[in-house]
Amino acid sequence: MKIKSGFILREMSGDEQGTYIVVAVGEASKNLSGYLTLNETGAFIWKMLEKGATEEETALKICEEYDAPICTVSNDVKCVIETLEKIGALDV
Amino acid sequence: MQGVYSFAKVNFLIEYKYRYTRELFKAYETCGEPSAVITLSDSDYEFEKQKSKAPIEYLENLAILRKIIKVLLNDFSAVLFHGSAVEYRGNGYLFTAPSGTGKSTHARYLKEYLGDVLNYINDDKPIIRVENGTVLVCGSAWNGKHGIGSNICVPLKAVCLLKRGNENKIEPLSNALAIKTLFEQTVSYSSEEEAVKLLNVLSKIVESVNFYTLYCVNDISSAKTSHEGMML
Repeated sequence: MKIKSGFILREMSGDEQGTYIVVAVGEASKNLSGYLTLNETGAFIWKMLEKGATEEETALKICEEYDAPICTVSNDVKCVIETLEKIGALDV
Repeated sequence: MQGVYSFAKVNFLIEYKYRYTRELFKAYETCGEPSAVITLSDSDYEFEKQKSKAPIEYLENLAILRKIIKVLLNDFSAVLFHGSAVEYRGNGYLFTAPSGTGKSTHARYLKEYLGDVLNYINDDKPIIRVENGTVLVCGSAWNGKHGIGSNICVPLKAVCLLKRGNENKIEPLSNALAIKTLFEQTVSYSSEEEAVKLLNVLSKIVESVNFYTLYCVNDISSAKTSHEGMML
């Protein structure tokens, strides 16, 4: 998987919890006119997908990084991927 | 006609045709060296005519504003922001809300309540600029129907989202709502470069400015609540 061009991820940290937002420019903005908010994990998933990782690879990496069980993680990854598909951000 | 005008400490050499524009910009005239030049083409005037039925002499300043916004964002980490900004003891406070909620009214209550130590910066479209890591709020010539404001730049201490309420109450705004407020009330972007620059400015604002929601009843008692809740 890959993130399509025209999408920009940026950290907006007003508090300790990381808040990230995604905005779209050009063609990409047809599916995302405002912005999308992601938390720390969401942003981590984004960055993995940006590098071309698969859903499974992403989930495994998060397990390593956050020391979490695979079943909860795969669900989170699936959720984020579904959201990104909705805004047309993924090149499958 | 032309003149050099300072907005958010940036000097613009502006060429224009109409006296209305000159009057509007009068308080912002400077002797400084310009660092940007604004000229309008026929198509810029055409664009404004398409957008509004008002006589072109009243629209010229909007065409100029569109160009200034681009320069401010691209070269000076500055954005136009919809709200009413006041200065109190050297710091800036910005009240924002959908039109008609009572930003200007609240600013007026604060003026009545605090008197001479409170100054209006801009009542409609102040400029927020990040300069050397500091977030500043500055006046602009676009200061709303009451035409109140001044050409000053002070550190921005807080942004306050106004809401009507049955009693006066002030509380911190969540990070998510602070971001939402910023996006709703500021300029847009038309390229990736601009989007990145806008995000840089907005993230700096979120990081260094306090955000509040003020629920207020429509009288001067709301000024006491905002003064005590975020200006002390």
